[in-house]
Amino acid sequence: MDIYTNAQRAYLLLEDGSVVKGYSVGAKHDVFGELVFNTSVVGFQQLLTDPANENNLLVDTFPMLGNYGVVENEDDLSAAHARAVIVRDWCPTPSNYKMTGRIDEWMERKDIVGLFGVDTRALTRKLRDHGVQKAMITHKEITEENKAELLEAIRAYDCVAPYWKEKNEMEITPVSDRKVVVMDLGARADVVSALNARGFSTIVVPSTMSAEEMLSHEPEAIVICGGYSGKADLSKELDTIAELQKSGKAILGIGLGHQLMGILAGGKIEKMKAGHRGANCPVTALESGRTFVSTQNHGDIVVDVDPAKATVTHINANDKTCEGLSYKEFNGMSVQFIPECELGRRNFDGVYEAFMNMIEK
Amino acid sequence: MPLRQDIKKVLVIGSGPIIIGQAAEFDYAGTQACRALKEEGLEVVLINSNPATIMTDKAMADKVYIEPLTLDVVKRIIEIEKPDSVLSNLGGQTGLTFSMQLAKEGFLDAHGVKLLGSNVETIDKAEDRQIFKDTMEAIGEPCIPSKVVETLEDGQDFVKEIGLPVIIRPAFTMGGTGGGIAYTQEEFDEIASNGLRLSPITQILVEKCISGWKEIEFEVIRDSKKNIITVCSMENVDPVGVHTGDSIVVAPAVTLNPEEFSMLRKAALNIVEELGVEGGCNCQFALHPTSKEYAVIEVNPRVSRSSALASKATGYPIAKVAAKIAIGYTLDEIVNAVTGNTYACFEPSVDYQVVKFPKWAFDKFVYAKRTLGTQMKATGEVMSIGTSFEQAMMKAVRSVELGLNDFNMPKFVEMDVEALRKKLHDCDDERIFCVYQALKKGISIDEVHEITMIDNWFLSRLYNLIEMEHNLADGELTEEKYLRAKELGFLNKTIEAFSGQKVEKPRYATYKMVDTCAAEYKAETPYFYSTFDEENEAAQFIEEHKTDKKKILVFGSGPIRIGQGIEFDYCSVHCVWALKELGYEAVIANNNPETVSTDFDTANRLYFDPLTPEDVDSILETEKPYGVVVQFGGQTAIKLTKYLHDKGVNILGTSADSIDAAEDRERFDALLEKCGIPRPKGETVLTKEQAVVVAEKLGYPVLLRPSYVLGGQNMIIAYNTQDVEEYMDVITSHMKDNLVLIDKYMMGKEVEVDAICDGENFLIPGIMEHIERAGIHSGDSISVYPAQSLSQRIKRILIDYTGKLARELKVVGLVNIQYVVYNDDVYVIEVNPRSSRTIPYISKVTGVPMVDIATRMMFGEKLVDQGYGVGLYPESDHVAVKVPVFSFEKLHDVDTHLGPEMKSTGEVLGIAKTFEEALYKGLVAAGYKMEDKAEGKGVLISVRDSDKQEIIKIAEKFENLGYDLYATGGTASLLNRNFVATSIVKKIGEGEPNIMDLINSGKLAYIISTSKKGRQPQRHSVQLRRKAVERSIPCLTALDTANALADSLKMNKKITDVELVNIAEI
Repeated sequence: MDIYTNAQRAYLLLEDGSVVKGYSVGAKHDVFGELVFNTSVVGFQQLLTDPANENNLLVDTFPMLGNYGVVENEDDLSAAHARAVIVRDWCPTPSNYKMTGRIDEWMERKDIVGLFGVDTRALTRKLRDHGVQKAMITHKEITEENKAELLEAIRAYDCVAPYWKEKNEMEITPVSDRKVVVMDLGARADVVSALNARGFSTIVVPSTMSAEEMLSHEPEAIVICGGYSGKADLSKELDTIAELQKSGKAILGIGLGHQLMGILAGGKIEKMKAGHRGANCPVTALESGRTFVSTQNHGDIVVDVDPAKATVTHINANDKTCEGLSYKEFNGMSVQFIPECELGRRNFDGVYEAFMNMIEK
Repeated sequence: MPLRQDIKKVLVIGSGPIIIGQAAEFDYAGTQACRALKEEGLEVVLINSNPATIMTDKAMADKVYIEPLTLDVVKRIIEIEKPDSVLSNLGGQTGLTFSMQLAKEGFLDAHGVKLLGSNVETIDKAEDRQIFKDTMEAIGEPCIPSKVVETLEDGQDFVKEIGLPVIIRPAFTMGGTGGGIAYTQEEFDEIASNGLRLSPITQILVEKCISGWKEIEFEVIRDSKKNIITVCSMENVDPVGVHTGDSIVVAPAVTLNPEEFSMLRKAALNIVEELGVEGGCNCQFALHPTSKEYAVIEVNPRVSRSSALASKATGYPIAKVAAKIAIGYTLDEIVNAVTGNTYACFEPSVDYQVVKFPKWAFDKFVYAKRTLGTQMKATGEVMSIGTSFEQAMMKAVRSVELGLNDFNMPKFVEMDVEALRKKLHDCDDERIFCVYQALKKGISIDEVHEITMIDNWFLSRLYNLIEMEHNLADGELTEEKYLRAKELGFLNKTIEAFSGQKVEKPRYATYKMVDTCAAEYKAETPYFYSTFDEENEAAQFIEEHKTDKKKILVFGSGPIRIGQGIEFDYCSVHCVWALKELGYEAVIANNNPETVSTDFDTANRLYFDPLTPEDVDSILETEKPYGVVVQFGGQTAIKLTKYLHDKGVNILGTSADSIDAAEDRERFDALLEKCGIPRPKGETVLTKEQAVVVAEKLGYPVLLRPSYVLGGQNMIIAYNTQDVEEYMDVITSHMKDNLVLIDKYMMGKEVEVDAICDGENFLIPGIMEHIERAGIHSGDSISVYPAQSLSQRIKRILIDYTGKLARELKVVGLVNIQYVVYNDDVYVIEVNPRSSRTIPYISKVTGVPMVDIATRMMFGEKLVDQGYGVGLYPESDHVAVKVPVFSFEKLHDVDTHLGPEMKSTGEVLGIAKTFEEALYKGLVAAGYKMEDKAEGKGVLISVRDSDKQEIIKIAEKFENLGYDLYATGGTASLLNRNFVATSIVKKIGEGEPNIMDLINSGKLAYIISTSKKGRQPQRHSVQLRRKAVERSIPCLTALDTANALADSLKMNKKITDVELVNIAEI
């Protein structure tokens, strides 16, 4: 089946005024967001449902999307999803025993806009050299007449509010008597299942919940996990985390959780030019000196933490930016990358193993 | 950890001659390793018997020993050179095995030599079947379940445990006789009982049958600090059952879901961690297509063909990094040479699809069994890079030089659906073309999958190409349709053929960079592949790195095949080096992932693409080179000459017209006549009838070959009308309207000359003489430099003729001329105004940098200014004997009888002060067992009538050496009549015990077998020679070789006595 037959034209307009022509796949409506690239080769369904991508128009550097199809209701990492994906080619004839459907139909159901037939490498090089920028995908032809107006709309576009800000309900997965509270700042499903697999019941709580109420569930430890925050006001979350840090419980921060804990340790958040987005990011654990490969999906980093409050434990082996912290004033650690969650196999980052030790201590 | 301070001098063990399964990839790895070591200021000592490699170049190591790769020789070199370390994991299986033996014997310890790379424990864990199995079990990595059983009941119990289907392999039966695959309990009972009965020790191996599972590979690198990464995943298009070397392979893996991918990646890391590998390691897995079940097939703790492919597919230099790790560095200290600002401790990410396509030699071995299985048969491979699988596949099919521009192979196009459906079951080298045609003629993807087990994804992608063919044929060729076709990899002329319309606005390809990181970081690698986008990264790169140097484009030699091997890569690389030294920007275009020429830091820029006119056109458009070089890339590059010339491209060196004058029969004859140089008489014919008439006129024997001949392809010597008729039948059935050349065959001494010319003067670095008389392809002959038996008069004639031919052909650069000396007269057989197979070895032995000088000639420099003189270069005081090496054990049903068609895959060199010693070393290096005691050992002689008189003397030599002689009826009585005592053996079909039983008896040391006719596997003489291969008994098929061997044996040399020569000192 030729994906180009009867394909509808669609266009990507970047804030800098450049236009990329392509064809439409998946949901068909105009969409705004931040244009970023990701170099992962496998795992598109997980990537597109990573809450960290909530505001992103995602450029997939691997030229083929959807080779092994999608697994409905199973492989999603969250209810949130990327706003759009930009690819060279997508596969209408996927092949894998586990799949339940095709990527285009899934994207339609998920309301993910797609643009294909694009030289994604050229786009990636642009983002790499000039930094990520805002952009839109439209299905109307971009002309000299409407371009100014559309660019105005891009500039005016701020960002979406993170879905987790609106959440009020808890999600409890009972496994045993041992409990971990997961503070949801856009928590990934794999973090929850990693804890379950290690014998812990999880109580995923909304970020608006007070520290007191979280602790009332009598967890042995707390995981603060998330990705995207947009322009949301995080002062309440910071207060809550500060409270939690006084509880004496072991705390693991991941992604946005790591960043907020970094702020509380005197650090600042800085936006990177292109971000770390891929499955091949090298991280050095400073204590052992060993470097391992991690999956990452973030555009911000923590800088300048107060050495009296926290120690940098991990750095990116390439650009030497902060990838992990351990804390002096409470029993806690945090990482910027996504920890390996498999059980029963050697995990080279050792994050969950370290966290388990912290709990047992 | 930085460079270890206790390492100063390293011995690198190379992999030896090119054979099927161990080829040029080890020259690539070895060369990278040597360079990495030298970069660190270490002294490098190299041993490799293969003279055709870049690795054995003086520039690569401080001491270079082109010596037989035997344990004794390696030991002696260690004693002489006293290295403090030996590198185990960069010389293929050969290097690994030797390192292992030396370590286990305690030799390394006794001599204070450290083992770098994989250590003994690691090698044991990976190589020893039982230890490997136990290790895998201990870490929870599943192996293919198997069990040795001695009763049917035990077998049945085991089958209950692992389930059907199973493979049954009886112990100690030849060629797997009595084995098979059982799908049902009944089948199992039948095959197992049969197998138990056939096995002399009543033992069978029952193994779970996993053919049809997906075959997935991971390349892993680990260092002493336990940093560990995977470089690349690869997926075989052909599922388990076909050797990965014979499979079409894609990188990265494309049909695995994240769970499967992560599971196998983790398994690979887990295994490599457990083995404690420090360096590169290849892990092969079988993955059940419809479940999470998987099994570890094989682990290789060394660089391999797959690691070469992974390096080229990602841009990550595995061998170089492995070498650095071996001497102490860790991944986080080694800078990624591609980006220049990131480190080797990361996993490459690719933004394209890579396809590897094997190259087989079945065009040469017409009677070889083409079925693919667990024994690798390919001699080489090509790699292609595209923005889609389809594009990469289309490029691959062009690169592999089958005469095809797409997947429509004529023999399948002609088949009907039923024939195709039946043919799909044959898993051979042409299956992909059958699959394509089956899909095209309406057999469903599901059905093709059922039969072939090729994943539906690959099939549906192939179907996209078929759809595009239909699409092109349907309606107007719009610009959009045209561009889509280009993106899928169609050539303009293919598009025109399918659409029946002219391409109005043909587009040039643009180029993308291979950068290890999917553009995440700005890279400095000048490594490009073509596609059809707006942006042209190569053009940008050229713009950003603008120099005032002239750009020269060098064409490489494509896939390694019989007749066009690694030698041409040696020449291409040397040309590039020379160009750089002369102040030019050297650009290379090639598509072979195994070679040094396609290493991204060999030339100033590398284009990894097919070498067809249209593909080349786009490179020219982007590069706009000052000139191009065609004479070093074998026939692949030479083939482009006419096209380039017609386009007005500046061809450096010998002109297109001269190349044509040497190739065109009539022009060449006229030229010879003008020079007064004789050649064997001959004529051109088209039909069988004409052929018979001409052959009779010339007088038998005659030499027949198609006019387009490459490396002796399809060439035979005919002794009678019947031979001519059989040959013409074969040729006309394969190719219609092809002219056939018939020459008088002169059975004289064959002499070969390589010369360098500047248009006026010429330099002959050396004259080579073949041990075997004319009639055996020069590539299969034992070649001796300097010629030992030529009179001064003959030498003078050779020099004179060479000069005349070079001048008359206006050769600028290299020319290779083959002569035959017959009845004390010199005749020309062939002139090739290009580099040849013998350039590397002659360059190394004489010290004349032939390619370098030839390159200088192309830019108008004169020979007289080069410091090597003109005419014949003074003979070296060393004698070098080049001995061919074959891969017959890998190719079933191929007749081992040597003839005008080349059969060897590689070569070795023996260098010594005397001819005898050089020959001895050459034979040892080539793997001939040089028996030191003849008592109790026999020589079997079975020769054709025309050889009978001559065999007497040779037989006598073996008799005098103490061998028992055996021969069949006629030969035996002749020998006995001439007082050479010979036992009579029965021929096949004369009852038992016969000649086959004798071979099986283990009494024979050598076999001398010549026959008038061969090739067809059912002939007795062919069966005899195949049997010799099976039993690993050296079988000599030319009397000259047998005679040389007898003489060499008479010297009674031992490898421990011969002088070892460091060629860097010659």
